[in-house]
Amino acid sequence: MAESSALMQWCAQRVRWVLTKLAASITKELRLVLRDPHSLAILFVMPLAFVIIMSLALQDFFRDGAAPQFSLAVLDADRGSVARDIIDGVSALPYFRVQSRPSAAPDSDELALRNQVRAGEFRFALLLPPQLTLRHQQALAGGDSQRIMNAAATDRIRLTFIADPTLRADAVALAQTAIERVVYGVEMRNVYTTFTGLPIDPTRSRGMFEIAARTAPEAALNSMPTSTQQNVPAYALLAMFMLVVPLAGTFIKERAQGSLARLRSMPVSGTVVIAGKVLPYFAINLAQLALCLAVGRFVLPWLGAPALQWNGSAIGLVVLASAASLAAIGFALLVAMVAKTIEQATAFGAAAVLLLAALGGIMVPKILMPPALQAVAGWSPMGWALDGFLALFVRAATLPEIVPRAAALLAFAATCFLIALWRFKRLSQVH
Amino acid sequence: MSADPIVSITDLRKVYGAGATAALDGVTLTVPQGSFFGLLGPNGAGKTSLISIVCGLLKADHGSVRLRGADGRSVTPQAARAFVGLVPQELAFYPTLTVIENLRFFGAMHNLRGASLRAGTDRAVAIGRLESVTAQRTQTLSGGLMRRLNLAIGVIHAPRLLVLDEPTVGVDAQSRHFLQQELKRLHAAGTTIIYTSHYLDEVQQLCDRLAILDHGGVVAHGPTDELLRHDSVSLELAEPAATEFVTQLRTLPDVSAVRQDHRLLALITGNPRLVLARALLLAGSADLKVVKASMGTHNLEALFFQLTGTRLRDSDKDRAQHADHDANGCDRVIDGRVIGADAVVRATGEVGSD
Repeated sequence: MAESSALMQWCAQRVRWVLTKLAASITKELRLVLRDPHSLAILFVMPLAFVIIMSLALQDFFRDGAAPQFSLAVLDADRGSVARDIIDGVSALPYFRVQSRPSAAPDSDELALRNQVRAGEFRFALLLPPQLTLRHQQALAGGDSQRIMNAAATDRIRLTFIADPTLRADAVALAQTAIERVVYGVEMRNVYTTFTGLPIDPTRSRGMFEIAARTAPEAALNSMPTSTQQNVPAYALLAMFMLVVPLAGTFIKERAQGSLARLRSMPVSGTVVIAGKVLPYFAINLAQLALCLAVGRFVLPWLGAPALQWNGSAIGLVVLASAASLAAIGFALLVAMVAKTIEQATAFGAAAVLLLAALGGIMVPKILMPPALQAVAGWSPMGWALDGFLALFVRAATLPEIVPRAAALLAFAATCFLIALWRFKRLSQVH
Repeated sequence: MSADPIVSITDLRKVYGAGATAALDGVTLTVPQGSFFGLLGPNGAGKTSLISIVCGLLKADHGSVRLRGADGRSVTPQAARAFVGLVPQELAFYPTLTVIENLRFFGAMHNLRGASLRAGTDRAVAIGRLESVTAQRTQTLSGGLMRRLNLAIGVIHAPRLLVLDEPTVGVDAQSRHFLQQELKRLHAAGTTIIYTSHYLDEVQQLCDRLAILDHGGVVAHGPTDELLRHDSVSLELAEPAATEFVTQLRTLPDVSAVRQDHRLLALITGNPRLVLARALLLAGSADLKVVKASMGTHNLEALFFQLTGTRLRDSDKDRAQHADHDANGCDRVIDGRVIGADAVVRATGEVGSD
């Protein structure tokens, strides 16, 4: 009885010592980081700036989970009913932000518009020629259906479509097809009205055919993230992995200044030394993520970007964030153990993180990558984490759906920790 | 001073990497409890390796180090960390933490908490005379204050054995004097101190026992006054002596140490006339031609140079080429002056001849 009581006391004292050392290490590490303005800038200022700037800049590509929206200028030299119907039609399309204006001097206005498109003020421009409505009505008034349906080149009414030369060819072709479809619809409605004598309300008219669904049901409709849903987790992850700079920096400084050797001469285990670094940076990582989420939720809507929406599992979010943090810390520790100087650690560490970020779809969303590069993106732990966050935010993923990605991150973290611990034991031996 | 050794080192060997020169090559030493033990040697002699092994930072390839705890039990360096304090040569603390934050952190690492941490911190602040700068970040302290903090951190847990690796490097005379006085006080209070320094006068003044290391081995070891009471005998031979001859010299009565440096032989003895006569007889019987012979008294500096030579030890390469340079009669440096090879003889006293 007395022996077991003594053993209990001995264990309790050991636990108190370990907790005292851990608390002291965590306090020390947090003080070192919070008193280093460069670290604070990298850990907190940089990701918030990226989140805000990139969420606002990429709104066009992610708006409301829909296809990209392009600016379209319509120059209306006709000012008739056909021109009005075309303008209404293209304005109803989700792909364009339409800005139409009448033109009294079509030639000079067209030249000015071309320059504006070339300068990037508009992505596309559509020129509706003078007397468009009149010529169309005259053609229909003849009543010759063969002539209408197989119009000769001289009878055709030319609308001019101008595209930004910097756009990809497929985007230009899609925009042109969409506009042609509107123009063709207006023409068909007028033909139908002419030959049947029945009036058609263009706002209510529907064709006979429609494509019911483009891809899979509900999930597919929401599979495209908003710019906020993409950029908030993306740049939060970049910041979390960027802790390689302060963590490796302080560790190498400790080594160079001899404080690590001094620590190793004291009754403190290597595990406590490492844990004293992991825990504060884990807390810093979670603070970084919470801050980015708060900015996405409350600040970005105020600036005009969509608010961060998320319908997934809250526990899943905590699990994924924790796994991502451990992966980031493991990677940082590994760099700290391998690098010999602060310069090596910051240069190699930051470059490696940026490479993983580029591969993982942090900077360029994976949906914009060609398939081959998307496959390579699967190698980046930042990509695994981002996929998890997007699943939570966009597809309302549940905890079991998050677990495989979290497990992959934890496996990466464990590998890094094991190598780092092995290196730490070697480095602890003073040479 | 108790006669029981607090540190017992037996046949210690350490080699960094295959094929490298041994940093420690069969070192055997004892540090008596309560002693102020000076550890001397040129750069690369093996001092830092030895200290690192004693403090549990480094594992030896061969041999053993045992430290005696307060309860009399003999333990390994790893198990002795609680009663050993290390003051490294580097300013080993955190520049952006304040003095008191550094002390509290390192105190906690020594299992101090609550009242014991406060007491340890107060004691360390008093030892380092840091009262006026406790709230100051250490990066803003002067060099002398930094050295004092470095010492204070090493004694926060009131260690029984304090190991100091060149603690007065780069400080002004006042700070150096202050540190020396504090170390004397700690020693007087019962702390055993192992002290390395390149300031030989400092070591001679502070330390009651000495060990001189060179090329990974102990070339002299004993109480300071005894080592300094000994005189030296120097022989310069026409050709390098065989190991057998050197061994014969070591076994001569009254010879406490022999150092061979290519053609030069230095013998530390309490009876130089008798030893010189016997050494010359031995050389004659071994058919060795003695070019020069001398004997003389010396201070620690002279003893140190006699035992370790005066060649600069800038790099491993220098050390490796050591013998060749001496064989070519290269100049030696004493007290910063470049003088001829025979100056060693002049510096130690009278000149003899064959």
